Amino acid sequence: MNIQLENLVSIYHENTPFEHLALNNISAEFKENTYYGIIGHTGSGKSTLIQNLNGLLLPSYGRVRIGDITLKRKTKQRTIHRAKQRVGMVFQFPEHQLFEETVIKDVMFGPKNMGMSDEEAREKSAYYLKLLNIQESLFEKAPFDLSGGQMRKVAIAGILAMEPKMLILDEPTAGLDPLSHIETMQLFQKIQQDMGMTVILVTHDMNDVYEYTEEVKLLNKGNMIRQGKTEALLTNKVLLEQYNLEVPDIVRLTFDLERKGIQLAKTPRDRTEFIKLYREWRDAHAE
Amino acid sequence: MLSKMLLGRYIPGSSVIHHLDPRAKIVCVVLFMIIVFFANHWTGYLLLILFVVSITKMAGLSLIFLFNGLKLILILLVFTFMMHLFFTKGGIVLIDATLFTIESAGVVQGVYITIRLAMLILITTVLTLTTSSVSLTDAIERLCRPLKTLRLPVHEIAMMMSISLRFIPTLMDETEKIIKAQSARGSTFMTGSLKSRMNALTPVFIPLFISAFKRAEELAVAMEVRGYQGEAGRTSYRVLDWQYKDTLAIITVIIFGVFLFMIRQ
Repeated sequence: MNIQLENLVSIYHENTPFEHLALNNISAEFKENTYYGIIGHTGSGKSTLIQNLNGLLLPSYGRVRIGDITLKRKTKQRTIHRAKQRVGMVFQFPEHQLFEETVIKDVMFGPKNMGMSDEEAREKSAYYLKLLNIQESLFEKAPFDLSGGQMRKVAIAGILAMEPKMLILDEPTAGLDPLSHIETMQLFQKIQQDMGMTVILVTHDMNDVYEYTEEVKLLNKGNMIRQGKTEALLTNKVLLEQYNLEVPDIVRLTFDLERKGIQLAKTPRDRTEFIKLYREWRDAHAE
Repeated sequence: MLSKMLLGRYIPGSSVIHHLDPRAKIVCVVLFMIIVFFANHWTGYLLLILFVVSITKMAGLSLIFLFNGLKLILILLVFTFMMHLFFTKGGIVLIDATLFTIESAGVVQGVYITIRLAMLILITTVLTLTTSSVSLTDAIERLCRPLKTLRLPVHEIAMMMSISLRFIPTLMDETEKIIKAQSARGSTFMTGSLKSRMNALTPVFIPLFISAFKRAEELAVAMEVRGYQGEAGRTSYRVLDWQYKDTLAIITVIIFGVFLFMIRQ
């Protein structure tokens, strides 16, 4: 299932003094089984864009195609409801959405809204909770008694249990400690690879974008500036600096080394690759 | 959905109305609230409408924009009109159905009362749209100062007011975020029976209350570490400056009131 945006325009508060053009004529495609990153400075329209991908916002003009569903300015609620099942959305601080008496009930909320029976929803919920390392002993506890990290996992399980075909992550690691940060990002990578899901990551953390995503879309002031392979876009220092985005640490380090005369075979994607390439360089220059 | 709500919002601007002293504006609005009841036939009501419309124009606000923002209040106005339509008796019988009768006095009274209510809502909306919440509470604190002799904690009440006003937009944003998060999980607020819509509110209110309580506690701690202990020894950073035009504004409203009183029938 692909998502296609066709000349998408999004205007907030149309016809009021607060009128604001958030997205200006965006055309883009999100393909199956791919890990995408959406980057851009604050106010570039990232949030607006992802909310258009599952019907939380409807386009002011243009359209969004999600498989065989088309979302337009005046799409019926029932159609939007189906779009929400296909495209799961993990918001920033998802633990703020927990409300049920027990962990398992909270996770079942989404699947049940999508028309699953109680048993089926419970089965799915238990499966995804375990996948996220929430032990069965915690299922009947109140979600508010869990630790912050666990609460976030429960909230994420609540989205996964709806079994969406596409997952949107809005700053999924905001406020996490470094260890949980890595854990969470690796978990999403695993989900993406194991289930062949499309994942769209929206974040300010260029290191994560560089390490985990395959394709990147760069937004600025509501315009789509560039779309392409991650390794091409995120190693383009001039482009990133032009749009006030940080260069990923590993890319910067490689560039710095280059200036000192250490020329790696290519720009590495992560630590392991960096160490490997550095060793190769040392071996080649060993005297 | 909540984005178009105008109640309690402030639109910065540089009109005459914006630049009036907030105390003057409050006094004018209170006077207007009394004046509204002087009108008792159509010329009076016409003058009222004219007065409010011209103030809106002076504040640089468009009527269409105000109307769109106050759509929710329209329900209240329609309800008021209906009540008078059906229950005020007198005059000629216009419609005589088996269940109800509509008489001319009901129609007239309905129109008049609805205009009164609409003008009150409009004028107070203009007040909040042109006055920031900070200066509004400053003004209320100053205007209520005499009550301190009655041992009323005026400063504390004003502080509570300004805090609650300050957090209205924050809570609105929060509500919108939670609504979005829950509707991404398939919760439906717009469709279904009344009961299912009511049920859909639980997943919104529980997280909202939790975060509101957390926020309140954090705010209390933040105020305490910065040494806040009520009014004792506090001076004001913003000084309210009463000018000729403020006196003039009040006099204008009084003259308008007197005029309206004289043309009463």
